[in-house]
Amino acid sequence: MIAFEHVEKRYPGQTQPAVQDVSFTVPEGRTCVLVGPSGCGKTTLLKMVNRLIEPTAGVVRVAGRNVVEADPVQLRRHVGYVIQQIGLFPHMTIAENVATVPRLLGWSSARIARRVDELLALVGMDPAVYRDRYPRQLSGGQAQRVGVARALAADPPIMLLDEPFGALDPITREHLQAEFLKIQQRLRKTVLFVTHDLAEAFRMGDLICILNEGRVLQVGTPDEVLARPAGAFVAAFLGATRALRRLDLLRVDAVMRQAGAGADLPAPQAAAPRPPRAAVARTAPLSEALALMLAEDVTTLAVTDDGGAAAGIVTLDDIRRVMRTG
Amino acid sequence: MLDTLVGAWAYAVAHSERVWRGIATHAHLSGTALAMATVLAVTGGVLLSRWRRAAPAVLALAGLGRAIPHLAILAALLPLLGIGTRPAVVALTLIAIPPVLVNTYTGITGVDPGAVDAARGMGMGPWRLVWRVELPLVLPVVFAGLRTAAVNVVASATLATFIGGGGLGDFIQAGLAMNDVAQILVGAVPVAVGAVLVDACFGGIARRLTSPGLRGVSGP
Repeated sequence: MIAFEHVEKRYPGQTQPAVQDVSFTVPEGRTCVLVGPSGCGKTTLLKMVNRLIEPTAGVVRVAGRNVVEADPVQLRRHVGYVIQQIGLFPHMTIAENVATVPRLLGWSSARIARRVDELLALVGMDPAVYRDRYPRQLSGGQAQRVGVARALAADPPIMLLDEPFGALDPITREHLQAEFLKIQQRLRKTVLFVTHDLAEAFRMGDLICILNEGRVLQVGTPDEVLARPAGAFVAAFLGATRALRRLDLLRVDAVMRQAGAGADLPAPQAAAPRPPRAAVARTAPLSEALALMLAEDVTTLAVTDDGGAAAGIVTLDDIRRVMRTG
Repeated sequence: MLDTLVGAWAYAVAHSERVWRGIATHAHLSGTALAMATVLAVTGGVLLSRWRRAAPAVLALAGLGRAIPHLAILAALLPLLGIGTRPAVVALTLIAIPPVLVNTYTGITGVDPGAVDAARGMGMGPWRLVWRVELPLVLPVVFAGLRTAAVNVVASATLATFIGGGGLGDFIQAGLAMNDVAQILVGAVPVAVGAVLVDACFGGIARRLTSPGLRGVSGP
């Protein structure tokens, strides 16, 4: 768990604090994305967790403990840290890079070697191929995979990611996002993730924390934030495509009408006078259902379950209703 | 020309003991000075990179130190440290410090800030950061400075003779005084050969110590 309690950071010689009165909590095993325009204080907040920056007021807690009471060097060895510049050590091999924290912690070399191979495999890099290479021999995407592996090396309960995929091309970025989500599903770290990319924020976050000028404007689940933006700034920041993002986020089975038990989809008369012509998976996002309706020029779709069997229907009105109630 | 070389060879053979002693003293002077300068200049460069406000002044001073004629440095130290080996070593150390100091400092300021941020963020203390990250990364640049310093020192050590420091300069000075080119060569040739050897030697060491990961990125 990471908790911010009335945290403030003032830099000498600046009238406006970089961060003021920030309070929120990232529960155990969740990913909280800090998002906001540049200069909003998101990186400052992140670096307060591993004490690369010290707050001028307030308390930052990791697992209940005030970080100011911890030895910063020891603290950092138990907090994973991934940055946009990646920061691999060019004079060390990939294995040595990944082994950085385990070596600081004094693990045996056999244990380190095992862990390095395990981690390289976890981030999708064949250890036999990459172990002895040097960072300059890697592409940007590969280098950041190693960056993530290095941060995970000593299995820290907490991960700090500062625009980790920001410098990568869009395709590589999406790959790494997907893989990080998969890894996170398995490892369940408590993650603080900084980005200025809204699509990334809503893709990665269990919680979204929107910042502007050093203040928290809203904290909530992606759906809460998209459905009920707190104030004009947040609404403007999320933009006119806010509704589309929400459609991306919601799944068909959140609004669909179940087929009657045992019944082989006799569509409800009122909703569907004719049997639907097109079908959508129940796990698909609503955006896909809407796109299909537009493309097929229909207002009703059949919904299929994992095996492809009919599971119910979804109508344009169902989608409208959930967007209205928001 | 050939006569002179033959004469120099004959002189060296006839005075082989003195020549060997001259070479040994010369090597001792240069080696001690280089070792001390390396420790001081690398330490200084690291400290300076932590206190960058002082850097412009110190770098200007180092530049000035390189511009002052080496003989003048020796002469200036004479009233302070007297004559003999010790002041010669001190003077040679002063001569060797600037290139190593400047290269260490500029090298460290040029280290990828991402690597430094990552190192600190993962829990490397200040010492580890220097030893495990910064110095290995700037090693090629430091060695480049060290090579400049070594050639300077081996050449300048011939001046030690003027303050009674000994070394191969003794032959050059005596040769000049007696207008004996053969004797001058007995001093000058080993110095020239020594300078080239030391340069090549440091180049080899630098290549061996530099991580393959840095090859082709920077370095000698």
